[in-house]
This record gives sequence, C-alpha cells and structure tokens, in this order.
Amino acid sequence: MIPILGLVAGVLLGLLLDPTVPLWLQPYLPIAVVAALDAVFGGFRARLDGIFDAKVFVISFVSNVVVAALIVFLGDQLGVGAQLSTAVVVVLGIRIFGNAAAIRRHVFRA
Amino acid sequence: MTYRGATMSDPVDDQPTDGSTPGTAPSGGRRWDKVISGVVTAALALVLGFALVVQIRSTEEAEDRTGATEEDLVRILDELDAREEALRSQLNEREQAVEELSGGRTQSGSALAEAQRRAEAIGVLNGTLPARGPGLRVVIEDREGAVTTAVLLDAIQELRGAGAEAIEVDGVRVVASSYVGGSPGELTVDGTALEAPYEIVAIGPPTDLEVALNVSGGVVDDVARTGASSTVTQSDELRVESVVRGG
Repeated sequence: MIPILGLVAGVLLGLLLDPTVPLWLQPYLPIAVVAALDAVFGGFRARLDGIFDAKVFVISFVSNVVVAALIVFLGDQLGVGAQLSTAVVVVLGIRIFGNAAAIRRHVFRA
Repeated sequence: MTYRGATMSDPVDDQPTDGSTPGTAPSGGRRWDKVISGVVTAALALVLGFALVVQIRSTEEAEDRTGATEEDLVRILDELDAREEALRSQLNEREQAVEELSGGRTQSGSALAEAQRRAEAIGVLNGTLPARGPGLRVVIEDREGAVTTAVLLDAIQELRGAGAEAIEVDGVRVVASSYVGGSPGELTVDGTALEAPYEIVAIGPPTDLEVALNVSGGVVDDVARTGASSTVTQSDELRVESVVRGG
C-alpha cells in the first residue's frame, strides 16, 4: 500500500513540477525507468508470492537502474548505444512480461 | 501466455530467495526494519513515478521527431542547414545595405554641400544671387552724351572676359542675356534707362580687370576718344546687391 502511495505521490510531483530532463540524463532516463519498472514488477510478484524482502527490492531496484544506465553509457561510448538500449529494453520487457504473467496467475488464478 | 513462457523469464534476482534473512533479527528490530524498508520502498516508488512522468512528458515534447527515420532526420537537418545559410546570407546582405546607406549618407552629405557651393557660384554668375568681394569700380563721366552702346558693351565684355563674376551698371545686374540699348546720352541696360555718370561695378580679380580696361586701344582709350572720361578704382570689398529681374 505504501509503495503505491509513493508512486502516486511521485506521479503527482512530476505533474506539478514538470521539470525538463537535463541533456546528459536524456539517453539514460527511459532505460532507467524501464529497469525500475522491472524491479517494481518483480517486487510486486514477490509480495504476492509472500517472499517480498525490502532489502532485496531496494538492491535490485538500484542495481537494475545503475546497470541499465551503465549498459547504455557503454553502448554510447562504443557507438552502439541505440542498439544496446534496444537490447536492454527487450530483456527488461521480457522480464516484465514474465512477472506480469506470474502476477496475473496470482490475481486471477489463471 | 503459457506457463512455460512465464517461467523462462523468471526474474531470479528480483524474487527474494533469502527473504528469511531479516527473520533472524529480534521482533523489535524487525519492526524497525519494516518501517525503514517501507519508507525506502515508498521513496523508490516515488522516484519511479516521478521519473516516469518526467520521461513521458519529455517524450511527448519530442513526439514529432521520435518517429522519424534516419533519412528524415538527415533531411530535416539539411533543411535547417540550408535555412541557416539562407538567413546568414540575408543577414550579410542587410548588413551590407546598412553599411552602404550609412556610407552613402556622408557621401550624399558632401555631394549636397558641393552642389550648394556650385549653386551659389552659378547663382552669382547668372545674377540670381547678390555678390561681394574684391573688384573694380569704373565711373564713366559722359557730360556730352557721347558714350555709345558699343563703348558700354565693350566695357562690359572686357570686364567679363577678364574674369568678372558679377557686373552691375548703375544698379542693373548684367548677365549673359543682358543687352545694352538706347542712343548715346540715353543708354539703357535691359530696358532700364541709365543716367550719367555710369557706374560699373565688377566683382573679380581687380588687377586683371584694370589691366583689361587699360590696355591700349581698350575701353579707357575708347571712352577718352568719345570725349568722356573714366576713372577706374580697385577695391577689396565691393558689393553687387542687385539681382537679375524675373529670375
């Protein structure tokens, strides 16, 4: 419940402040957001499984974001930033799908 | 989605297998842990929501570019480059025009001054403007009415030929179209009757004018031959106030 409140608060904050993304952050923010989404779905699934651990969630959240940003950064340095971004998004998307499927099974028993 | 597909992408690292680790702590510490973990989780969720909205917003702003292919982007860039070039050349043209105009102002200013100077000189020459300066005053005494039009005309022409810029006879301005008429004793200039003694005022180099009049067989001799007398005086400052009538 608390994380959902936090999410809502974050959304409202973003809508109210409406900040512009700094230029240096622009390549990394979308990937970081997708990585964070992956962590959140994983955490949600773990909670439904009854094995949620905040420590693991926090670490996976942060490391997901950092690693995703790092991969994009590395890709930018190597000249394949766009492709690596796609790769990261695909991998994270698959994981999100898997977690979503597990959540669905928990919620709908199907 | 099949069950197999779901397990394939099981996020192992996000599924806490070590969930029992905090369980070893005593109940009080566990409660504390729960609060902290709740706060941290909420904070992370907040960050996610914030970043999500910000990213969506910034993506909306750049919407019209994201769908473009590389060729489109290159074309857009080319267009922008061409536009920039056109604007730059336009700017150059404008700057040049400004320079020309400001340069032309000083040019036309000096041209205007030159034109005014010339207009004044011409005005003096054709008699539309009063003149003053060094010159010669010739007084012809003609008690017997012997001075003919030819003598007076000679005098005027000699003066003009010697460089007189402005000539006046008895208050009548003499210009290129002036004529001398009448009969001896009743001379007229431009139809205005003259009265003896005839006073000729000429603005010009005084010495040249006097030499021109005094040359042997010249005007002074002619006047003397007719029985009249003439006195010639140089002056540094003479005024010809009369102007030609009727413009």
